[in-house]
Amino acid sequence: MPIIIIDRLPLPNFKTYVALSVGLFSIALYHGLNATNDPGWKSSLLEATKDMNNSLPLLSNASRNEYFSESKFRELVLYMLEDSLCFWGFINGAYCFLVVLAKCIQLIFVGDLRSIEVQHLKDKFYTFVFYKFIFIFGIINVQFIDEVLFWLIWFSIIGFLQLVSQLCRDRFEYLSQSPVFLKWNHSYLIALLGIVSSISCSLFVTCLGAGATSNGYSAFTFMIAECVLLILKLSHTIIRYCFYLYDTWTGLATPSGAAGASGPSESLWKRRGPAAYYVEFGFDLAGLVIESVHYAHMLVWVWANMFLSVASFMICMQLKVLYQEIMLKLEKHKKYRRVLEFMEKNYPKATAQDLAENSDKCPICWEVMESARKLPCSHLFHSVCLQSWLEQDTSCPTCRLSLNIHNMGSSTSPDSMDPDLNPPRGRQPNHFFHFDGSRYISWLPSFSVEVTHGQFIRTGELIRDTSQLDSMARQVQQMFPHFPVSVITEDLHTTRSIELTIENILDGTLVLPPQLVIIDDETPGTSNTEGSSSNENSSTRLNTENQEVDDQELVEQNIEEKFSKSSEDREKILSCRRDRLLREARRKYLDKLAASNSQGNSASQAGKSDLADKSDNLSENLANKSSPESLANRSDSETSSSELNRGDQIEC
Amino acid sequence: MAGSALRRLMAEYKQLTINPPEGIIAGPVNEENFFEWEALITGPEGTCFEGGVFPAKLTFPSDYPLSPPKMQFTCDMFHPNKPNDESGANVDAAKMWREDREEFNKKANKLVRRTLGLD
Repeated sequence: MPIIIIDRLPLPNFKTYVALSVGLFSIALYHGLNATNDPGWKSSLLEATKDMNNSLPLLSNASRNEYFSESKFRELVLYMLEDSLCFWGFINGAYCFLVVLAKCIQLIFVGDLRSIEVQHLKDKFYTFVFYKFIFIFGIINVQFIDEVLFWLIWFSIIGFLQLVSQLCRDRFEYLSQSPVFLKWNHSYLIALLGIVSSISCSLFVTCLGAGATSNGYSAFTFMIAECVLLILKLSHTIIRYCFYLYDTWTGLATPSGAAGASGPSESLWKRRGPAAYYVEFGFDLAGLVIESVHYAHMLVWVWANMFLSVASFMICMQLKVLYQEIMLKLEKHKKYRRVLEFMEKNYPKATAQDLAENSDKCPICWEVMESARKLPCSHLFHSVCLQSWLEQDTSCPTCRLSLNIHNMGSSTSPDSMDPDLNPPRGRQPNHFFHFDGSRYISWLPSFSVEVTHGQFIRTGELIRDTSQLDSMARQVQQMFPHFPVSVITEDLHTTRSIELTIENILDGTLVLPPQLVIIDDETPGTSNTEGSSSNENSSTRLNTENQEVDDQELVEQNIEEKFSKSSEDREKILSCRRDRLLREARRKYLDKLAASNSQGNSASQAGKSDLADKSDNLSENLANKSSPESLANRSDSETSSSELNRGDQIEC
Repeated sequence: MAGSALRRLMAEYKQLTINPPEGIIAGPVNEENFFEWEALITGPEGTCFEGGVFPAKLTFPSDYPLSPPKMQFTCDMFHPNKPNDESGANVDAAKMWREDREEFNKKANKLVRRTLGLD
């Protein structure tokens, strides 16, 4: 919500903001210069400098001279810090500098931002500002402008670094999805990552140093926590980057030769899979734990220093969200361990004979299997692939045989099936609802509800509300009035989705009770559907015949179809093929139109016949179209199609 | 992880290019993002959508073979199973398909012509 409101505010764009800030800063500077030339202010300052001189007796002569030569500048700075108007001009100037710096970084290292990156940065920025505002005024409860200034500077730096690290992460994810290794983009990104992490590390060291000398213990801990979180995030990205680079070097991530991946890749995957998982898990958990400790510390600080306030409520909300996330992570990890154990115990490694018989590739990743695990239904998969699948679904990916992992703790016999969980249906649907509250208000929780048949963790309640079911049934009945509500509701009980029920009806899986069919036959509507079904049958027969002919054509075409190694060529070939398909379809359509026009005329001359009664919907439709207008169209388009053919020869 | 999804997608793309199914062309139009594909699907013969070439956008998740891709037609579509703005299915289309087949076919034919760039 706050983000939407801020988005609608008429914020100045980058150029006007910079121009305004520079203007403001120069006005402040001019004002300061004028004021410092005024002798009255100078005399008061002189006393101050004298004091300062006394307080710096150890300064050597040389540095003292330097000090005096810079005194004009110092005067100015001192004045500007004193005067409130100049002070704000100064602050704004500093922020403007940060904005310009950010723009430079973007232009040099990243280039154009993608919309998702902009969205992430915006979200991050506004939540950061929101929470740090609360932190400064609600938790630390600053009293003096000096303190505000100190925290402002600190959070500006930390926030800036966090935003840049977020950008690095997003960009890395984007680049790692590209099939080609963009050398320059990667080197720029690595350079940026290096710079940001070195700055963060030096910030951390400075913090440690400052914390050791100062006596503000709590403030120091807050700062350290922020630093550690930032560094953790950066190193996570860096380690992921290392994995990616390692993959690329060993030829894993470059999928040019994908389908025929060679031997060593698989063993690499096996070693890498768990390592990558544990790195991910470790970093996520560490980040969450540190963050919650950070917030708990804030809570303790608030309670120690003042009475309960709104801020402590906000912290509690945040802590709750963090706790839930940690539990979710742990739950997921438990599942991971459980699935791994179960798999190793129950699914034996495929023998060499099995592998030889199924010389196929792994159905999940489409790569050659050197070793595999065998399911009870004797389907083979890579160990790693199978594991990641079983974490989200407990049926065989190929044949959908329920594997019943949820009983594994109590009994290992796989035949104790729960009839409720395995309804006698052809498919077992997965429904996934996701609500991400943090997209609207940052502290709203996000949750997912997954309804699966044969799932070990049920995260949500099924739809129990009968009124909801009724409304769904009514919606379906609107489309298929000849189906009684009771039948539809029954099906909805099992599918829990309008689309699936409709699909069942269209597929013919959901059949009417016999007496209803008889009643329905008397209504004129059904003769229509019957006719269409017979039409469909004949058309499918036709289709299969056509396919056989087309297959032969395809074999001839295959010689032309090439799969280039360079992505540019592939893009070109793809667009060429798309054009060709469209052109051919257009030509075919126009040819058919012309043919059916002549046929339609002859049919109308011959009068009513049995054939015309049963004629295809399409040809009827086309016959209807045989008006003078379409005839004119035809001659037009015939010429255009021949032109297009010529274009075809030139382009492809 | 993205790496395995990418390799699988590349393998599928290769399959689709070398051995294309009849009347369907699919692939990443801009290979900078390999997880966004565009497909052209020819209306099956013997249906009212025959001859049309319907463009669709496919979006693959980063854990691709484990979670399904999303597909959306980028042209106007009028089909009982194609969701429209309000609900998961097109109620109007289903109603028309049942009650006024001729009108439905006319509408479908119009769409076919539009996808071919003839209207």
